[in-house]
Amino acid sequence: MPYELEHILLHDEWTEADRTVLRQAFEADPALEAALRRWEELRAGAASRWESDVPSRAALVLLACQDRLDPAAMSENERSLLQEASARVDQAIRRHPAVEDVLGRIRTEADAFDREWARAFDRSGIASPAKTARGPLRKAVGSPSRGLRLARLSLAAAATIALLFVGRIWLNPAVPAPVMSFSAQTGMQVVSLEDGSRVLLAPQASLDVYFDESSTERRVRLHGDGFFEITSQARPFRVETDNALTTVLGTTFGVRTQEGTEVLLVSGRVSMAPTNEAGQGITLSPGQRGLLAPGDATPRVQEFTMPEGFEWSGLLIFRSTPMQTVVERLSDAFDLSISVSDDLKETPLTGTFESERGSTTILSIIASALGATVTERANGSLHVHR
Amino acid sequence: MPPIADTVQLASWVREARDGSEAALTHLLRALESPMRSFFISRIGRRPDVDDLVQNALLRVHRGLGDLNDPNRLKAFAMKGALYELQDFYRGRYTPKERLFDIHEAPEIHDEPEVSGARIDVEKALSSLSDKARRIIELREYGYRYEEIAEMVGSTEAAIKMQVKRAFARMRDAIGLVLLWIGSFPPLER
Repeated sequence: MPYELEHILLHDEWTEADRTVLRQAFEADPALEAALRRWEELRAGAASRWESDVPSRAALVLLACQDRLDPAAMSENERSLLQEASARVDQAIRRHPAVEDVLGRIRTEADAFDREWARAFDRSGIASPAKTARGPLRKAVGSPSRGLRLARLSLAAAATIALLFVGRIWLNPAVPAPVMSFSAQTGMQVVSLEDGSRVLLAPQASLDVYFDESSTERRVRLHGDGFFEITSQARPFRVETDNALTTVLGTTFGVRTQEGTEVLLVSGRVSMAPTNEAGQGITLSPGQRGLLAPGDATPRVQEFTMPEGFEWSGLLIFRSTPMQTVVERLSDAFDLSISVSDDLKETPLTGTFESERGSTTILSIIASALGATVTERANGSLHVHR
Repeated sequence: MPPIADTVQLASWVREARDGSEAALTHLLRALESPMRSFFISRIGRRPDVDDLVQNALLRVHRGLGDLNDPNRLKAFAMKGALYELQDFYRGRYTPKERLFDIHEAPEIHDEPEVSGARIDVEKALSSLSDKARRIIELREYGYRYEEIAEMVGSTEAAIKMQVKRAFARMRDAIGLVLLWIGSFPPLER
């Protein structure tokens, strides 16, 4: 195998450029593609067997730290989880010796926590950690490098922001605390939820998650704009905004919360209703947009065209879209002249692309999947053909 | 500026917070935030994820205060929350990026033909791996980086990657033989 491919295969994470190189290599070497597909299957198989044989990650934490966690620091559920995990761990280690490596790693992490705790609190008279970094007692522990001191000071501002968030919940006891919270600052942020669903948060958006694996429904609260890809489960998935409640079982859709709530459905079905109980809900089909202005009793329904409805997200979304339409949309998005050969015009394409990847990369991926080629013509236009 | 905090003060804030004092809870969380942040940075480096990890670990503390029967056990309680968050972070390290909105995947083509008949039994493939290779693959799937795996098993990153490379090469050679074998048959007549 060429050195470049070997190198890519061993990257911790594949970039889009890595994947493009791999796809090109597949065309020349079908055995490589087959091997990589099987390798992915093998990895998934290893993960699946681990999931069924080994106690959960939370249980591994309790097992690794049971000598440091007396029952006073555990909930009833945790005590029961630990008891069950203790009975299973020997067999798990026999089947998967790597369990011992994970337990060892968690103990190392607990040691690191101990150290940070000791630095912060295990001396009377220590002030806030940021102040400690400059104080004489801190020097007695061991003078940190200048770089570390600067890092601690610069992080103080971010720390205050997070605290304000937690404080907001506490100051309003009527609002239950979320299980997890995420916020996108200046760029788009991808959030992966416990149930396998994914949410793309637009800049300045935030998502509070109110469910875990034991919850009977999956409930989140969105501020700002988000694109949701929800895994199909019997438990409904509900997105709350200030004035609307959107309920789904498994689908792909976008939610915007500027001046009311706007839900754009890509696939599946969703119901959308005002949070005001007096109002009436509606059901949306793919390609429909539900709009609920502040104070409205019932959402209005409009048709929209993908990806027009998702320009804010920077995503180019295609669902069974004929290639002729795909190249027209790409032409518009990138202000390019792109054509497709007659034999490919009706071929349906399903995929979602970040427009920031650029026309060259996106076309290259599509061509790769079609077994096609992109040719640049003398007038600068691009032609996709087999 | 938060008041001076030591372990006695922390326990006192826990008691007051459990009794409903908003000020005590705010002081408590503010005091915990900096060591939490330092802890996560020490484990995964200075990345944007640290903000989420800190916030979620603090939320765990907040939500679980009712279960903390002995305020002097706050350290163990907070550590547990931080370790849970770290394990969740490992779990999400690769899969979301690799599967997100199929951006990084080849798009689905509906008339795509089946590529090859060279499927292999996953169980058989797993059992054919060396113990070392399987251990590495499992740790990788848990969410650790190769560098971290090397540290955990007392090896070097290069040696770990060599194991993975060998395992992949063996499987590739086996599949290459299957494809060659399939290709040696004449096409079926209709």
